[in-house]
This record gives sequence, structure tokens and C-alpha cells, in this order.
Amino acid sequence: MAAPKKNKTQPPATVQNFPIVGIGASAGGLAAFKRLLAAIPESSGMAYVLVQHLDPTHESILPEILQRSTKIPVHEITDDIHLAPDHIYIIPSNKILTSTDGVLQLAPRDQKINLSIDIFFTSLADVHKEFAVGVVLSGTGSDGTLGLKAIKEHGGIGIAQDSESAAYDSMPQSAVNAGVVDFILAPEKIPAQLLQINSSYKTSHFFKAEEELPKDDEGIFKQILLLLRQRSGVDFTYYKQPTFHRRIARRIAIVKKKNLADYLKFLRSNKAEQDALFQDVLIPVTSFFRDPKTFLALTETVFPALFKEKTADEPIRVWIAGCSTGEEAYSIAIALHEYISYAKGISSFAFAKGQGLRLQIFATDISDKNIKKARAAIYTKADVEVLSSNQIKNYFKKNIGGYEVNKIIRDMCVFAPHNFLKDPPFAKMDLITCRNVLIYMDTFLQKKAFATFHYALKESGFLLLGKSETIGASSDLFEQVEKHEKIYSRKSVHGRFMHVATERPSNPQRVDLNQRLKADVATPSAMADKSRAGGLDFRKSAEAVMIAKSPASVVVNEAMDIVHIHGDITPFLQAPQGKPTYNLLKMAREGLGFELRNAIHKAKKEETTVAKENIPINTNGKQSLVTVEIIPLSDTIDPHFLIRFEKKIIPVAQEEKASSSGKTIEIQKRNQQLENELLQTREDMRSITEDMEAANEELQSGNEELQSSNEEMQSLNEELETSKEELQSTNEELIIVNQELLDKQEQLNASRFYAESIVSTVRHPLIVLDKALRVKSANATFYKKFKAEEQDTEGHFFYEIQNRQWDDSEMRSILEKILPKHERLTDFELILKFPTIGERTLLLNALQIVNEKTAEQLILLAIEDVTERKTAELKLETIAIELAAKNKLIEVSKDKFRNLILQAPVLITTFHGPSFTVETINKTTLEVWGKTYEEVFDKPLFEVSPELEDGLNKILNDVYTTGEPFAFHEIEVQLKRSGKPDKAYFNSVYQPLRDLDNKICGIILIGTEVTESVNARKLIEESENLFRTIADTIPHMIWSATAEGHKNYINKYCLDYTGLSFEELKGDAWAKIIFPEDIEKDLELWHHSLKTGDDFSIEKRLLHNDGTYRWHISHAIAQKNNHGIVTGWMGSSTEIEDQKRFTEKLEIKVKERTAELSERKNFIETLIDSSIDTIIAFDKDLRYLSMNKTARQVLEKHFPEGIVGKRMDEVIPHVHDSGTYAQALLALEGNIISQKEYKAYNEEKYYDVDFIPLRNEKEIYGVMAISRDVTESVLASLAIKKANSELVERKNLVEAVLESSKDYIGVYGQDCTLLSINTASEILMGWDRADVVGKTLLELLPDSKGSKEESDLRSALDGNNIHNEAYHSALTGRYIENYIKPLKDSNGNIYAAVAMANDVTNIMLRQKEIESSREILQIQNETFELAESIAKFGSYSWNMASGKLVYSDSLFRLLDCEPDEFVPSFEKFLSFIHPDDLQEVTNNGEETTKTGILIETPYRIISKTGQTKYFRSTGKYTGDGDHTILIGTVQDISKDVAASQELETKNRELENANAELASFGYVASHDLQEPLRKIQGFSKRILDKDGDKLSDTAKDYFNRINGAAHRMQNLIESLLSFSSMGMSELVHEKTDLNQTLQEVLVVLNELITEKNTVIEYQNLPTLNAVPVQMHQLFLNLISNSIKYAKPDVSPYIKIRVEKVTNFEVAGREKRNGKFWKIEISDNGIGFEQQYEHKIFEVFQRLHGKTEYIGTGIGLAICKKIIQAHNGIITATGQPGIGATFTFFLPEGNKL
Amino acid sequence: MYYDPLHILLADDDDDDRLFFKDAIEEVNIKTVVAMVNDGVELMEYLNKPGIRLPDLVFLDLNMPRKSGMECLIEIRRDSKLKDMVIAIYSTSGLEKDMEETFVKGANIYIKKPNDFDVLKTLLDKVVTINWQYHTSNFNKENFLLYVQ
Repeated sequence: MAAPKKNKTQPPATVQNFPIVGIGASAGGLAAFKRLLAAIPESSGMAYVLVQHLDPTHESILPEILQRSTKIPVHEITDDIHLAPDHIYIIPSNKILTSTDGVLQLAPRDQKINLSIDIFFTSLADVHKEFAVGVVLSGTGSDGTLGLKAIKEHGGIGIAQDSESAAYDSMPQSAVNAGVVDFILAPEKIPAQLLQINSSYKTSHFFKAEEELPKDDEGIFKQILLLLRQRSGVDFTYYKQPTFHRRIARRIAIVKKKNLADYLKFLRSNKAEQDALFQDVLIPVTSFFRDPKTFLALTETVFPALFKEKTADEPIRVWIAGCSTGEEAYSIAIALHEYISYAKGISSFAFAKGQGLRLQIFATDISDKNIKKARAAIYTKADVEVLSSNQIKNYFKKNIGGYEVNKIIRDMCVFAPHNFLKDPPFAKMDLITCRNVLIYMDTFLQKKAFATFHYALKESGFLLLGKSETIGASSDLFEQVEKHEKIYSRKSVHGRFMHVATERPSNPQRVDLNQRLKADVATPSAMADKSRAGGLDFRKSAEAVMIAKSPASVVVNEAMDIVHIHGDITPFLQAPQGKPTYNLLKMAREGLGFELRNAIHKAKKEETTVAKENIPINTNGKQSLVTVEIIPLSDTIDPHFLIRFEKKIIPVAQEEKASSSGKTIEIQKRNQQLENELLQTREDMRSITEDMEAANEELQSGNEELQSSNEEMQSLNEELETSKEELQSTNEELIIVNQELLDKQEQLNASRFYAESIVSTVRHPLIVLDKALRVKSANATFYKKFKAEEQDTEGHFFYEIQNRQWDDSEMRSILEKILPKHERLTDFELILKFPTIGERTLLLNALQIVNEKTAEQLILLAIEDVTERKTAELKLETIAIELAAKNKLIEVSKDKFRNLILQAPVLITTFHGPSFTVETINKTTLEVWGKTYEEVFDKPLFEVSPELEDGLNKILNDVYTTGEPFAFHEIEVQLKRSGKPDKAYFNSVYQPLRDLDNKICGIILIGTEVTESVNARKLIEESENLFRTIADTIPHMIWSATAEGHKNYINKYCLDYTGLSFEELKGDAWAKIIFPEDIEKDLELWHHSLKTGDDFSIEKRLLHNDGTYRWHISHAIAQKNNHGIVTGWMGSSTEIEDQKRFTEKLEIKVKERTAELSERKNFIETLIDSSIDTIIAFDKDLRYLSMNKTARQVLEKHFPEGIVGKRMDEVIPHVHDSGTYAQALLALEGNIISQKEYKAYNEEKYYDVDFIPLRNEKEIYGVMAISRDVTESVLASLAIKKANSELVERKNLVEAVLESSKDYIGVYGQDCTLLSINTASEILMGWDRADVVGKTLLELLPDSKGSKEESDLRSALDGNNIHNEAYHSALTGRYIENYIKPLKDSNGNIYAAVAMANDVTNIMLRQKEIESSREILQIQNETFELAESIAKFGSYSWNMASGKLVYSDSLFRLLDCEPDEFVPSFEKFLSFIHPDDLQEVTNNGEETTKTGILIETPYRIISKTGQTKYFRSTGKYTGDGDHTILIGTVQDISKDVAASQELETKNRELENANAELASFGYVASHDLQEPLRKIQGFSKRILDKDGDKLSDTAKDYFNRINGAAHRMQNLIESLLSFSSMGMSELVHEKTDLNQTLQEVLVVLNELITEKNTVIEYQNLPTLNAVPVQMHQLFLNLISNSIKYAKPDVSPYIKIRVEKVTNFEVAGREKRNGKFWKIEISDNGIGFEQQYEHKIFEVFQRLHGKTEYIGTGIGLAICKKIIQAHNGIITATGQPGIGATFTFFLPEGNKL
Repeated sequence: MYYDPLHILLADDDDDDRLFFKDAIEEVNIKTVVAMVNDGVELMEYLNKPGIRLPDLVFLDLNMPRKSGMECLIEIRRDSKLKDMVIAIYSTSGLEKDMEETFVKGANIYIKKPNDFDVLKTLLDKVVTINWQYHTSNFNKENFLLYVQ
């Protein structure tokens, strides 16, 4: 709490003892303000200051707005600030509120950045300290966060709006994130919280001065202090108590406890709260570059001084004591770093010479939590906002958590938990900053701190304190350097630093709070005592002694410095002149110094109390005796002595008295005393002298020794002293560094473990090599893999291990390059043969291990065994190739297979799915089926051939469902083969097709044609029959036998021949018919045959039934099956008796024949030899057999050695290529082959070669080749061919040209014969080229005779070039343009003409069309012009953009001008306008141009001849943009206008007449009635008054006068009513005729009753009518009926209603639509029908006035009413019977 | 009964009608003082005479020379001094138009001059005995036209 300053220029009311709530908001703040203000009670006892981000130039009406939300007065702060409770203040938008010298003042706002909330809060905190409460409401940005920080630092409370309720939550959220907010609340809840805090403050005596605190609270505070010390190890006893109390009060408010006791209770049980309190007490509020001016001063003053003295190897050491969360330390580090960067440029300092400069920043704080945070070095955006963007860029790293201090800065700082009041301090510091720490300490602790700092600082080191801190009582130690900044330099005086006994636990390395706490707790009482008094503080123990003793005393330390003074010591001690000092001996008064030195010496030596009595001293000239007592203080750590002084004043007066009275006694006494004294002195002297003498002797001898050693000791001691201190601080430093190192080591351990785990689990061998490629280490995998031993590997050269198997020169050279050249080995493949594991392919990767710190350079070599992979790859490759080959094979075989299927002579068809869609079908099947592929493919079988369904459907379905194949055997099929019907047989099987899942998916049909075998079988069957028949009828013996030889068939001939039965001959009984001599041979042969299966043939004699044996030749042929096994025998025996006989004859004949043949052969050979053709015979192997002479001549020329017996291709290898050999082979098969124009292989010769097979009786035994030289003819034909092909090419080209032409092109020869024609012409003429070519023009087109075309063509054929421009060709009916040109051959003879025609019909037609439409247009134009002149209108076209105006001729004429008399323009047009209309026309014109809508108002013009005419213009816009054209007409409407003017006049006249008539009506109604009324009035009066005086006649006359007048009046009224009928504006409305009738009956009631009338009526309709008129209608009609009743008959009136459609009133009118027909009939006197019309006329009466009273207008009115209602009224009557009035009213009138 | 005689003013240009009116009013069973003027101009002069006792009831003929009854009616209703006078239209006209217009312009009652003297007497008797205060408060078109049943 700042004490009010006695400054009269400042408003004194700025400082108050109640909370000031600062509320800041920005965007969205107004709503939040309102909500908050509305919730503030009228007497809260607090003042509120609102600050809002507003445009400074804008006049704010915020006070007025906010006043509506609250009853509390709202003010805008103007000049003076008098904050009072229960008022709301608003800071003006163009001002800020800052603190100046401890009071709040308005100041103009800095225009640049709007941080008014921060500025205000900071000021508020500065001025009002704990009373400040900051509330941050909705807003963007982070304004307010730093302000709240300041408030919190000063013990105030921070509140932020919750993000749910905030329109913009970034401002409050920023504050929350910065951790400076105590409550997060919705605006309306904030006041309640404020009240609670306020009341809590009050109850906890927050606002009372310390001395006012209730005494009983003191104990509680002490307990809290104790709790805090137990928890944190920090003793806050000497912290500023008011501050401490307020912090506690703050906590009480925050945790909502009632009072201190309550809080203590809570605190005891809540560790979190203990920590919170600890944190709060420590006030961890700091920021980067706090007080920028201070930092500026540091760089300007302190840093240069620091660096100036430094040598390169000397570090700069800075100690940040109380570094909180590290910002201060980092700020200093940054400032230093910046300074160095800057100073390097200056280069006047040592470090600028290129050497590094070490910076050591020790940052300490007592809060572990803070240190942790500081070490983490991560800050929020709000934290770093005060830094410049460069600083952030250079010294921070942005990551997820926020902004992290970068390595350069972080490494400069060492953080450690440390209590500078308690723990040993650091030493040799260049700079110590201890800012905003001392303010919380009382003077005692402050002094202690300064002493510590004094010790810790180097000579001329600097101390930096907080803004509000001063050196105070310790000004002897420090000297202010900067006037305005709290920077001090160490004074070079002897410090007072005493290091109290350390309370550290035995292990000094462990600076662990808990550990410390344990130590504390272990000896609570001892510690408490010590810490409170003795051990730490000599004061208390001294006091304890002094209280018992006499008052004046001092305490001195060993160095004789006074550390404590008690009582009045002035009689004994006095401050010496010169430099102030506390040295006891220097201060002692004259005479006392010597004694004191001796006494203290003695007390020290003997450690007992030494007293010296009656030491005479001289004080200000007065003599006095002093007794001094030296008491060594026993329980201090360093020796301290209490020196007690007692003074005895020498009684001078007594002496004088004594001289006068008992002088002798006194003198005697005095003498005695003196003597005693003398005695004692002598004794003293003697003893001292004795001592001295003895000592002197010793001293004398020792003195010299000592003198010398003393010198040594002196220096040694000094050295030791300093080094001890240094050691102590170094030790402290080391502890801290060690601690950091431990942290780091742990991290390192973790990461090393991590790395090791990875290395050990990596499955690739890894080796680490040193510079010389010696193996440093290898992982387990390496050893395992390569079966290496660790002891044989590590320390050995890599290429030497394992019998130098790794010694690959290339790898080695790369490895050696890795370190010096920083290369790396990447995927180096190495194939090594290992004795243990065989040949392996290895992939090696190596790189340098980066290690900045150690000089050792290492290589990491990773080995990957890719042998398997390689092998696998190779295998894979081979497999792939194989696969490819196989695939190809499969592909080929697939093709083959498909071809096979397609070409197979069997039927193969597959059907897919249950609908048996044809999927595959081969050619054979299609052939059998007689369908094409397209017809069947992908179609269901039965759709393709429905006729198959009957037979096949069930079968196929069975196959498909059961999977059982179904086979057909020898089905007969009719099919076409080569176009001819053929019968064929098939064996087929339908088999299920299965898919991969073995599910049936279709059916395959495989069929083989068995036609041949069937046919064969049939043939066999037939032939068997045939055989039997033949066998039985044949004149030979025929038999068959089993394989064993038993006869099982013998033919009839045989049986007949032998005369034996089958039974007699079957089996082996055959022998009985064999001639006995032949039996043996026969049996032998037969049995041999049976054994061998060979055919058997023998000539033998057989017994004929005539008993003779005749020669037979017998054959037995074995019947064998396919396997060659004999299945039976067939035999025959033919009688050869006759042949035998002729054989001899035959043999002779043969010999003759042979001779003949030999002769013939010679002849032929001669013949052959004579041929000019070469004739060569080859044998079966195509060896030369023989040749004719010609051949021999040819061949022997080439082959003199002879060629007979040599193979054809041996002699002429060429025969293989020429196909000759193959032809020869073909000839060997029996074909006669002719090879034409065979070219000889070695010469330009051609031969025709014929190969003719050579046959003998049995076989072809060779080939004869006959060659003829045809060279000449061949060459000739080749020439012809070449010429031919050229010709064809030319022809093709010409034809292509002709065909591609769209023109009609024809070539005509002589006589106009059409030679050629192109497709276009074909199409045109509808010709077919084949039909027309070769015909003459006349033949083709008989009409062409004499035509232009014909003559042109002929002319062209005569050599003229013809060209016709477009003309209409009668021949083609088209318009054509043509060219005809003669064609000449090379001799210049015309042989043809080519005609080319181009069809221009379409173009011509188009032209014609255009022409005709032009004509039409012409006609239309003329018509239009005519129309214009007749209808008196003209037209114009006006281009709006160009302004060009075109008038039609007629328009000129309308203006009485000649056409084109002037150039039309709008201005010209206006000049014709009648002056009275000019304005309107101009206006209309402008309007039209604007809106595009033409205003067609008539206007007048004055024509050229001066005539006034009325014009009306119309117009229409067409086109757009620049092409907008207004086209329209101008019409002379003068006649219309004149007519309408005339009409108007007539109308007016009529109106006047009408008005006259109306006034007549009025006159009639009013003025005419008047006299009548008078007549009646007076005559009545006469009759009333003087009636009795009149004669009866006179009375009668009077009555008649009355009657007449009355009638007259009725007449007039009726007439009036009739005439007013049409003019009145009566309104049609919904009228219920029933009601109308009732009203009429009421009116007529009297009359009805009088006449005894009966009225019968039906329900009448309701319709849309004029009620009054309906009333009149009924009234008139009914009263009429009553009036014209027969005199003696009561009237009977009947009203009938009917609905009718489309009625017709006889002879009059016919009406369509729906109507109500209402009939009123009576039984009155009636009338003659002829008068029907008359009765409806005015004043027409059928009866005399006297008979029936009436005006004669009633019915006329009725008619008028009905007509007005769009209806019809009729009347029918019969005299004496009655009348009926019928009227029709349209139903449409019904509403 | 009135303590004072009822002051009645008739404005009618027709001498005969004034005679009839006078005769008829004399036979009415109420004490009356009747004044008569010949046209509208005279009527307005009479009413604007200083110190005059305003009539309790004015019978106003419509069709009068110089200033018609309609004009007088409008003038009277506009005059703050006269506007509360009871005005009975007394006219030969039975035209709807006239009745409508006078009603709109603020006449209190409409009497069509009857042919019969007896009827006139009855009508006048009715008019003078009407409680005007009551009549005006329930004033409407239906009871505007006074006639004898």
C-alpha cells in the first residue's frame, strides 16, 4: 500500500482504502460492460474504472449508454480523478490513465498502438497495489494480459470473462493462458465475486495497518509461516509482514475462506494450497526486459565497464538472484549477446580479437517450480510480445508449446534452486541482479542480502536492483552508479558477509527441497531455535545476557568491530574523526583502549570473563573510573564478545568536602588507596616485567624466526583465505552445474539407452571404426552373423580381422576417405567368401559419426547381408524369364488349341448357363448345323434352333443339373456338304462344364462324325450278305474256319462238288476229301499256317462227287484283327485241272513275248536320244538313271566325270530352291507335273519342264524329266507384262480423278458413243455404268436429237473447245455450266470428247427466288405507299445513333410538301409542330428517348400551306445499340378529331337538355304540386270552417275540386317517379322478393281488407335488384289487380313463380339464359288482348277516370322497371275473366 | 309544460303556407310565440339581430328566393352561436335527395308539407312536443322524417 504523498498539486483522492476495479474491454465489450454493470449492487463499496478501446477521434457516448444499465452514477473522467466507492468511471477514448509519481493521471493517448488496458492496469497496480482488481472482458488481441500481470504482482486480483459468454474471447483467453487470472467468470457473475473478495479482505483485516491487526492472529500467521517452511523449506519470517499478510488475505479471498483460522485449517490439509500460497508469496511475476530503461542503462553503462577489463579467457559472470521463471535471466543473456554482437563491430575489446568469450549466467530462485519453468525455457506469445520482432526471430524458436529460447541463450544460463539468504553464495561475480525481491524483505534480511552480494561481487562488480528498491542501510557497501537507475557498484570495503552455518544436509550435492525438509523435520525444535536465534543470530543471545547485566554494553566480533550496541555507550566510546569505523579499539575513549585490548586478549585466551575495574578515563575533561567486563559469548559460531561498561564518577565534591571536614581521614584513605594502588601496580609491574623479561628472551630468539616465517605465513594465509572463499563459491557453482549435469546426464543416459537398444536390436551388423579403420566396437549382430570373437575384433584393423577377409581395396579406399573428405559410403556391394558361412553378398553403408565435442572421429559402418535377397532376385529373374517363355508357349498352345477346336473335324460346342447360350463353336459344328457363326454365337441354343428343343431340352437340363454326361450314338444328321445334302452320322456326348468352384456352368458338346464307320459297317453288313450270296453261288469252294482251324462254313458249291453235307465236312473232317498223297503236305502246311498265321496256299487234288480227284488250288487266308491276332480263316479251292494243262503252252508264248519287248525298248531309246529336249530318267531316289543324248551333251559338259547314279540335288543343288526337286517328288507319287518357264540356275535361260512318273506293272519306279528351252518366248512375254501394268496404273489414276469429281464427266467417242462416265453422272442420270457404256448418246437419250448438248458434243468431236455459261438444259432439267473438250491421241487425231458439266441449278433457283422476292417487295412497297396516301398516313424510320431520319413520300405530302422536298430531321419535324403543342411534343420526345416507350398523343402541326392538322405518331424500336432504329407511322387524324369534337358538342348539348329535363322534373314535382296542395288545403278549410254555411251543391263542388286536385297531384307524382326512373343512380342489391311482397301487402293492407281480397303466392326468389323498384313493381301490379276487380267479385290474385330457360315470348322476343318467370294473375275485368301494348304506355288508359281511378302511368313504370332489370314483361287478358301480368327477370341478376 | 312559451320561427316565402302554419300552430295545445320571415336572407338577419331571443325551433322551407333553406341550414350549423338550434325542414319536396342532403347538413327533422290541414296540425303537435334532447341523442335517418301514421 503506497502511503499518500503529500503533494498538493495531485488530487489527494486518488489513493483510497477500497478496491478499485479496473475493467477493460475491446470488441464486443459493450454488451459485456452492460451485463457486468447491471449486476453491480448500489452499495458495493468499490469503485469501477472502465476502459474501452475506442477510436480516439470519436466522441464517445459510452457514459450515457452505460448509465441506462445501472443506477450507480457513471462519470467520464475529466481532469481530476476523485475515485469514490460506488461510482463508475470511464476513461475517455482519447486519453489513457497512467500513474505519475504514485497517483493516477489522465494523459493523452499514444496514437500508435492501443494498449490502453495494459497501461491502465499497470498504473492501477502501481498506485493501488492490492486494492487493484483487473477485469478483462471480451476483445481481440492480448491487451490486458500484461496489465493483469502487474496487478497480480502487486497482490491484486485478476478476473477474466469466460470464453462462452465473450463475443471475442482472445483477450480474456490470453490473460488466462498467461496464468495471471484468478477467476474466470461470466460478466454478470463478476460483481458477486468482487463483493466476496471485498468482504473477505475486510474480515481478514486486509486493509488495516499492521499494528491494528488483532493480536490473536499473530499466532496463526506464525503457524502459517511454519507450514510454509515445512512445505518449501523457505522461512518467510523476515519477509515484509504486511505484504505477507496481504498475500495470505488474497488467498483467503480466492479460496473463499471466512477468516485466517479457517484458512489455516484449510491450508493444513491442502498441499496444493500450500504450494499456491508459496507461489503467491514469491510473486513469480516477471517479464522479459522489465523496465526497458534499466536495460538500456545496463548496455550503456555496465556492459562496457564489464567488458573493458576482461581478457579473453576470463568469463563474464552474472548472477540473477531471484530469477523467478527465467525471463530476467534470459533478458540479461539476450542483452549481453546483443551487446557482444554490437561490440564486436567496435573491436576495441579483447573478445573482439577473435577469441571466444565465455558468459556465465547463474540464475537462482528458491522456488523449484519456477526453476523448472525457467529451465524449460518455453514462453507464451503474450510473454514474448514485449520483445522486438528481431529478438524473437534471433533468440526464440516457435514450436507447439509456444516460444522456446534458443540454444545460444539457453546455454548461457544455468538455473538452480538456491536461497541466497541461506545457501552459500557464488563468488567473483561481475554483475548481480536482484530485482523486486528485496521489497518483500525487511531490513534485516535486506542487509544480509546486501552483505551476501557484496561478498559475491568482484571488485568493482555491479549490483542491479528493482525499481523501488534501494541500498538503504548498506550504503557503505555499494555506491550508486546511475542516478535514475538502481545500479550500484561494489565498494571496496571489508564486507560483513558471514556465512552462517550451512544447514545443508550431509550430502551437499543434493539440493533437493524435500531432502532439506526432511533434515529440517528431523530436528524441528533445534532447528527452530537455531534459526530463530542463537546459531544464526548473535543478537538474541547477547540480549539474553545483557538483560541481566548493566545496560551499557557492546558486542564485538573477533576483529574488534562492534556489531551491536546496547545502552548509552558515549561515555566509553566515541566515533573517531576521519573515516567512520566500528572498530572498538579505535572508538574507545582515551585510556580505555589499552585496557580493553589487554582484557579482550585475556578473555579470548582464557575463554572466561575478564573484568578490569576502575580504569580511569577522561571524558570531555572529566575524570571517571570505568569497570570493563569482557564476556565471551559462548553459543555463537564466530567468537563474539560482550563488553560491559560501568562507570564510576570520581566524586570531586566529596574530595573538596573531605578537605574541609574529615580531611585527614580522607587523605589517609586516599593515601591508603594510592598506596594500595601503587602496590598493586608495582606488583603488576613486577610480574609484567618478569613476564616480559622471560618472554623477551624467548621473543628475542623466536622473533627473528617468526619474523621471517610470519612473512611467509602472511602471504600464505592471504592466499589461503581467498582460495578458501573461492573454493567455497566454486563448490557452490559446481554443485549447481553438477545438478544441471545430472539432469543432462539422465537425459543422455536415456538417449544413450535408447540408442543402445536400437543398436542392439538392429538386425544389421554395425561396426564403429576409428580414424585408422580400427574396430572400436561392433554390435551383437555382427559377432553373431560373422561368427567373430569380440577379443579378435575390437582394437584390430577392420581389414585385418577374420583373416583379412574384409580387406577389399575399393571399400578400404572409400572408408579412408570418409573422415578427411566427409564422404560417405552408400550401398557398396561386396561379395565375400566366409569360411564359416560361405559366400555372402553384403551391402555396406558408412558415414562419419558426428561428434562435435570429442576430437575422435569415428565411422559407423552398417552391413547388410543381401545374399538371400540377391539369390532370390536371381531366382526370381530366371523364373520370370521361364514364366515369360511358358506364357508364350501357353499363348501359342492356346492359339493352337483354339485353332484345333475350330478346325477339328469333330464337333465341339460349348453352351453357357442354363439358357445354353452358344459360347464356343467350331467350324465343323457350324457345318453340321448349317449355320453361320454370327447366327449362333452368344445366342441361346433353342433360340437359334427351336426345332431342337423337344428332343434336347430335357437332356441338356438333366446334364446341367445332375452333371451326368449324356451320349448319343450314331445320330443321323442331314447336312449340306459343299452345298449338297448329305447324310451323316455322329456320336456325340454332352458333358457338363465346370467352373473353378466345380460348379456346373455350361455344357460342352463333343461329337465325332462316324458316318464313314457306320457306312463301312453297313457296307460290311451288306457285303456279308453279298458274300454269303456270292459264296453260295460262286463256282469255287469256299470255306471259313475258326482260329483253331475248325471249319465253320462251307459253301454250297463245295457241298455240291463233294456231294457231302456240311456235317460231314465241318471241323477237321475236311481231310477225307483230299487226295491221300497230298494229305501229308496239306496238313503240314495247314498246321504251320495255324501256328504262324501265315497265309496258306497249296495245289492239291480233291475228291469230286463223281469219285475223281481233281487238281485244285487252295488258299487259306488268315483273318486278323487290328492286333494281328488271327481270328479266323477264310479259304477257297478252285479247280485248276484245265489251267494245269495249258501252262506248258503258255510258257512258250512268254518267251516269244520277251524277245519282242526287248526290241521295242531299243527303238524307244533311239527315239528319245533323237529328241532336242533333254530327257532324263531318275530312279525312286531321284538318282540319275539314264538320259537322252541331248541331256547327256548338256550335262556332261558340266559333269565330265558322269552323273548316272548321282542324286539330282547332288548334281544340281539349286533344285531345292527352284521347287524342281519337290515337283519331282510329287511326280514320284504318280502325278504328271509341268513346270513352265523354269529359270536355269546359272544362266539366263528358261525351260518348260515336265516330270512324268515312270511306272512298271507294279509301281512307280522313277521319274522322267523332259526339259524344253523356252527362253525366247519367256523374255518376250515379260516385256508385254511390264507394259500392261503401267497401262493399268495410268488408267486407275484417271479413273480416280474422274470419280472424285462432283462434276458430271462423260467421255464420248466418235458418233457420240459413251466411253466412260463418272459416278456423279451416274447418279444424275440414273444410269448404271455397265448398261450405258458403249451406247451412243442418241440411244441413251432419244430426246437429245437436235439438242444443244448433241450439237456441242459433235462440235467438240470436230475439234472445238466448248464452254457454256449457266443455262437451262432441257435434257437434264437442270441448270448447268459445261465444258466439252476434244481428246486427241499422239498423232493429233481426235478420238473422243470429254464433257464436264457443273450443276448450278441450286444457285440459279436461289437467284430466281431473290429476284421474285425483290419483285414482291417492290409491289409491297408500292402498295404501302398507296395505302399511306389513301389512309393519310406516312411512315418514317429514324436511326437513333446516327440521327438519320427517312420520311416516306406520303409523309412529305401530309406536310403539304413534295416528296424529298427537304432533308428530314427531328429539328425540322419540330418546326412543323403547332406552337401550342411544341412543348408537349418535345417533352414526349425526351421521355421516349429515355424510356423507349413511344407516347402516342395527338398533336397539331401547321403544314407548309398553313393548314392546321392533327397528327398522331406511332413507333417501334428495332435493333439495339448503335443499330437502334425507330420505325413508325404518322397519321393525319384531323378528320377524327373534327368528328370527335363535333360529338363532344352534341354530347354537351344533350347534357344540357338532360339537365333542363331534370329541372323540369323538379319543377313538376315541386312547383306544380304546390298550387294543387293549396287548392286542396283551402277547399278543405272552407269545408271545415264554413261547410255548414254552404249549400249542398257548393259542398259538392268543393269536393270535386278536391278530387280533381288530388288526381292531379297523383298524376304529377307518378310522372315524376316515371321520369326519374332512368336517371336515379339506384343500387342493385340482394333483394328477397318475399320480403318485398310482404312490405307491399302491408302498404296495401287497408285496400286488401276493404276489397276482401285473396292473394295466393308461392315462394319468391331472391335476386340482385333495386329494392325500391321491386317494391314499386309489386305495388303497382297488385294494386292494379285490386283496382280492376269486377265490382261484385272479391279480387283473387295469384302469384306464381317458375324457373325457365331460353324462353320465347310469342311473336316478340327470344331470350337465352336462365330466368325467373313471375306471373301475377287476377280475376278482374281483364282487357282485350289487342290492347296489350297500349296498357304499358304512359297515360294510356282503357277505362274512364271515374270508373277506375288511375294515372295511366303505373304499368308504364312496371315496364320501365323490368327493362331496367334486363327483363321482359307481358300482359294477357280476357275481358270479364281476368288479366295476367308475366315478367321474366334474368337469374343472372341473382347476385 | 314550459313555463315560457315555445318560440318558433318559420321561414317560408309562400304566403299561403305561412297562413296555414299560423292557423295550425294556434290550434296546437302548447303556448307558442311564432315569428315568420319571408326568405333566407331575412331569416339570417333575424337570427343575427343583436339581443334577440333565439327561437327554440326553426321551421325552414327549402325552396326560397335569395337564400335557400339549404344555404341557411349550412350557415346556421357553421355559426357557433346558432349551431345548437333545433331546425325542422318544412318543404313540399318529398325527394329522397333533399332529405338525404338536409340530414347530412345537420337538420333535426324533416316535415313534408301535407295536403291536409288536419295532418299539418297533428305533425306540428308532434314536433313541438318532441323531447329534443332525447331525440337528438338517438338521432338517425329512420326517425328523421316525421310523418303521421
